[in-house]
Amino acid sequence: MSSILKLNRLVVMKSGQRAYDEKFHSGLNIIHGANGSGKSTILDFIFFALGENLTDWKQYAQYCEAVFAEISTNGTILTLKREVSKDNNRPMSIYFGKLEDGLTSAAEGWQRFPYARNEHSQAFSQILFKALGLPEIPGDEGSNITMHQILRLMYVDQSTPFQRIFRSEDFDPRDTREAVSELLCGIGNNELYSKRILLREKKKSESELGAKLTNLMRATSNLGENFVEGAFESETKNLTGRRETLQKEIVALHEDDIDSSKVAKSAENDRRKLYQAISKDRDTLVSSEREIAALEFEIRDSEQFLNHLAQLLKDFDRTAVTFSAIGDVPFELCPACLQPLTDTDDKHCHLCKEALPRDEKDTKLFELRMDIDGQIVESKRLQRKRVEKLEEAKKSATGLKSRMTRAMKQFDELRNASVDGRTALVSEKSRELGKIDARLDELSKFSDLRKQINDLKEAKERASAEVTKLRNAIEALELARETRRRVVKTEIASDTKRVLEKDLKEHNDFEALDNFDFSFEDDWFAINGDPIITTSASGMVVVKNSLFLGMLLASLKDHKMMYPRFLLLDNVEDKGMVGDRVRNFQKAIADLMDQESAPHQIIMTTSTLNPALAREDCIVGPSYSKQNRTLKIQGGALGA
Amino acid sequence: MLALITASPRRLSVSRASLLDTFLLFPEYLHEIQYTGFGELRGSLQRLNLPKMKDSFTNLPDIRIVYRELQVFQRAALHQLVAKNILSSPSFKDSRLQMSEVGMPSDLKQTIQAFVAENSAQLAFIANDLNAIPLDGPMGLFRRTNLEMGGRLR
Repeated sequence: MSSILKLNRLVVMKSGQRAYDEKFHSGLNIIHGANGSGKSTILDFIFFALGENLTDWKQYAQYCEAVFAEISTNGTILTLKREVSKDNNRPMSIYFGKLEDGLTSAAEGWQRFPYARNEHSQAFSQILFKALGLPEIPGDEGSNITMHQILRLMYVDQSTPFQRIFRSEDFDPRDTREAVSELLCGIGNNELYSKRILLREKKKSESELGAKLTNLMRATSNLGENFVEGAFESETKNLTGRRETLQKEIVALHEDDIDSSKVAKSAENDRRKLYQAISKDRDTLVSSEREIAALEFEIRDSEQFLNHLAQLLKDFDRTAVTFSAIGDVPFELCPACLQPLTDTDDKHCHLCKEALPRDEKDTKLFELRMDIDGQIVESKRLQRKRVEKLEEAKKSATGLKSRMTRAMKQFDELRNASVDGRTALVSEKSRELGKIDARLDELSKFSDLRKQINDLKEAKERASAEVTKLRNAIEALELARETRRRVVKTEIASDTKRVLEKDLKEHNDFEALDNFDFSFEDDWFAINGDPIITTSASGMVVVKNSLFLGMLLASLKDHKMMYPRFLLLDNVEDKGMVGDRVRNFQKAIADLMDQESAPHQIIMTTSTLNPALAREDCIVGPSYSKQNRTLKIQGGALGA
Repeated sequence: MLALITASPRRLSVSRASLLDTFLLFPEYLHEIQYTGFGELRGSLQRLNLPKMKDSFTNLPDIRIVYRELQVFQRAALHQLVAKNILSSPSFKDSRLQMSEVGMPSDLKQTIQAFVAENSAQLAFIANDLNAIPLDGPMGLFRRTNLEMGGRLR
């Protein structure tokens, strides 16, 4: 399925008033006017509204408060809102419906999404990717590719050096450019992307296991204990033997008749204290076990709920596809009486004869799907918390149990001891017994620690094996995509040449155009193998614009390409291009795009409009000037 | 419904398809059928490991309520499919379900095929094994599923 993005309307707000409000249409949209009238500012607003991480605002733009954009994403209408700010990573509010409805519904129906995903919420890029039918793919540093990244390949701006393809930014790793181009050109596939995401998760888990293991090993080395297999067992065996002997000795001492009222009183005190401690531990244990039972029930219940939600999502997707496929089939009979319908045509509803609506999907369906998705994310987060809480509760219950067992043993010994002269001897033996119990308890903990170390080692080995397996699988999938990469490159190069051939002969400084080549990963383009295509800067601008148009044109024919068929071209006459050449290039773009029936949108700015394009289906807004700027901001407001 | 028609080796009547569709949507009810005389079906069903009522996250009401309410949706869906010439109108008027000569659009066909492939074991049980049991009569499916009165509660 192709990916189609279209801007329907853009509203920029300043002091509660609309500083800019224009509707956009399919095909070519031209914003025209004198230099310095704010055309580029509008493109910046579009770029920002769609998810760009823009902080370097032009002078007039920074006085505005918010930008609203109504967009169609594969037919689903969404309204996006972002507040203008110099801060990085601004969030986005999304209204699942038309802009006019969003503006009147105040806060109701709007959902706010952060720039980067967190454990509470999906990022706005994830929502827009889903709406555009784009798969999530890993980028750099553990994050996924964002709207900001894909927009860099959809916007020809004035500030990026004209030899570069991607819109420039400070941190621009090659891997990210490669991932973005693969995604938009449909070079990878979902299996490859999901394996890459899985690899990232497995690597993270492998490294976490490694860190845990290192910490545990370090902690155990500080204990000075020998953690090799069998070390604790022999000591435990010896101590258990000694314990049994002591118990027998205590029993034997009970046969003697030694009296001491002082010792008896002390023993009674010990007994009372022990009894109180045991009672307290018992109460804590009872409530802890109740908590464990409740948590276990909640976890089972939530597991079922999560399965139910996953099934719901699956059913929902299947229903949406079925609904859409059946919806596309026209009625031939009346669905009520099953009699044949007459006077039907493709442009009107066969039942009510009204004109068919444009290709718009029910936005509520998308919203509902996002709700289920959000519910799954939140439920998983809560489930993780429950599991962590359960582990804690179990650990604490185990500790309580062993403390209680030890105390009860001591209590039994004290209770069995008679309060006479034997007590002193019994107490001495009991103390030794207590020490042995404490050491046995310690050994049991060490044994648990060793088990933890062994379990971690095994888990790390398993994770490493999975990482290797995934790496191999990814390598195989990456090899398979080379053919696809060549096909797309040829298509884009061929369409770029088509555009370049429309350039005026008298200005054309690349006449001997045999071969056009480019590399998204390395961010260059070249004619006949030479990246220094021409010494003329305006010539380079023509080539760069042609490459972006080539990408768009290729995506209209190649349905595997996921390029959203949306292009922003700021100042096609950049770098001093002469008037005739600019006007010809504009006309060439319009003629080429007029031949295409597949949906697409180009938003272009110019100060030198070709009069032939001064028509309603091309122009957006009036002709702007320094007196009639794109942003209608009152003079007084500028001083603010 | 379209998946059932695709998977069924025999032509389905509207009432049979309606009943089988109920079991496809709510496999929990398959465990409530009386399989007297069809012991091997019970064995096959157990091997499928389909969810039982007690395993279901949602509380399902009595099958008679579900069946009765589902018929309203089934009727509307079937009328749409016939009106769009996906199902044959003459067959439908004869209370039978059959694909029209035009058949399904390719998108829909792919979705149905994916569903059939994904649920092949459950569909095979419903469209082959259960489908072999007569519908009416003292040993019929309606009696075995407690739906003799068309889902009405007695």
